[in-house]
Amino acid sequence: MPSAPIYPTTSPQIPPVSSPLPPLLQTPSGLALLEIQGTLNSTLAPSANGSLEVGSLSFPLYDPDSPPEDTAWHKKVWLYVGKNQRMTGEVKKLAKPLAMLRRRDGSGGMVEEEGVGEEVEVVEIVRWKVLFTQRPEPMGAGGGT
Amino acid sequence: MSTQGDAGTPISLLAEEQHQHFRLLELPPELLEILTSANPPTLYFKSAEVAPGESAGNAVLCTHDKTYNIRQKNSSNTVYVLQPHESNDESGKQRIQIISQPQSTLETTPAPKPCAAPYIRQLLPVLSSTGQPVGARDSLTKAQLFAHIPASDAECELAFRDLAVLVDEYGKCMIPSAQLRLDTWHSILAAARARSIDLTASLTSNSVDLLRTDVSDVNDLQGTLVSAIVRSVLIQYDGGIATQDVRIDPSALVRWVGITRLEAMSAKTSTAVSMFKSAWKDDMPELWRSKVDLTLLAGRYTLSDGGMTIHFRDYQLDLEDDVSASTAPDGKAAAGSKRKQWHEKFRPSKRPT
Repeated sequence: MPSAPIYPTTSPQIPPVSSPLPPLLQTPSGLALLEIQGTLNSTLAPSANGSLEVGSLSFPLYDPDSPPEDTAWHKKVWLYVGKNQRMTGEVKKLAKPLAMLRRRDGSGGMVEEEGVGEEVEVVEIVRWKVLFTQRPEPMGAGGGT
Repeated sequence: MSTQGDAGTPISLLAEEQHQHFRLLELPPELLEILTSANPPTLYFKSAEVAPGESAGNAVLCTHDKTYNIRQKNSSNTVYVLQPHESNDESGKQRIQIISQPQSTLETTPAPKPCAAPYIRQLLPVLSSTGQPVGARDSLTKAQLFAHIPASDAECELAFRDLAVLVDEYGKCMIPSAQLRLDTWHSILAAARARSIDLTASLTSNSVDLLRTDVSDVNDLQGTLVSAIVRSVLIQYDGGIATQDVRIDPSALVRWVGITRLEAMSAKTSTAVSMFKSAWKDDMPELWRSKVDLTLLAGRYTLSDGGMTIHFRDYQLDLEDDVSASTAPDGKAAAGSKRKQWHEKFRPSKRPT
């Protein structure tokens, strides 16, 4: 099988894609990683634009005016799921940074192309993730504190 | 900015059909440094040619000069890729969208030792005389050859030179047989003696040219072999013997001649160690006869009969030493083997729900 090239990021975003996440989790491409024990399942149909509302993600202890050495906010991240559940997680540094690779044609699809060498690109290098390992807690409607 | 207020950032999950497909690749410090350098190079996924019916062989990741084994690591956790998303509603508030769910992470570990030589031997036809090589037309060019070997270019180049691979006028590669290599080496020795060229001393490019034309007045391929042999045993080869003086490395030559002599003798008959060593000594330039030493052939020989008989140890066995290597049948890999695409090799074991 022919070798498949892995191209470095050809055009790092300048300026970086704007992101609602805390700067520590921001990357030039805007991509970030979230990991949960379990999966997000839903019996609801997706909306017209093909996406499904999950809930919301917040960093309750994060204060943009605090110095970067202040890392207490890492320990509390909330993922509200649906109307009734909340998961608590943390911001965690990856043991090894991860390169995010994507097929270069940009379609992101799994196209079967006989005889064509597949080309892959490093889209981002990620060093942090948000990790949820605890069971969701039931929340009253309207969310808790 | 993340002035989120109490409500947090809305997060949605993109429909699976619209998901992008990412591979997550672990970066040890050396790879991280390479990829974050000022002009990061292109890396390569490579793997050995796989025979039909066999599971996909080990895949590797290569920089220009290093090879890393890749292993797919699954986790019981679910990983999602997030992307910022503009909101359609009037708030203009930024949102987050889950756009992908990679099923596994690729773990990288440095490959324990280079394995290019066995693959080169496996993939190329053998030239056993300087007549018409059989099967050369179907053979591979150097670039094609390297593309099929799960090792970095630098490691392939080293093995290519070590094995004195020949490239014909069409760019096709062949392995000279042990007997051909040995015969050509003897011709080099004879030509050097005739011209009083001391092979143990510094050699001008003119001397090398003279040796080549003396040996191969009839046949270009053998001339190419002379150059390939000399190149394979030089000290600090740096790209060309055309322009500067060179020296043959005594240990490299002793080992090269020993391996060649052993392979040639083993092909014919069971070989007594004493006979082998005696022939090996005779193969060396006068000044270097005393350097003959079995330890220099480490890895390429085995002994039997209480150390009395010596055998050539096939390159194929180097692959079998490697725990993760796929053993190949002897001879060339099947030419028409099924071509696997990379996304097939790393296909997720289950689909996301």
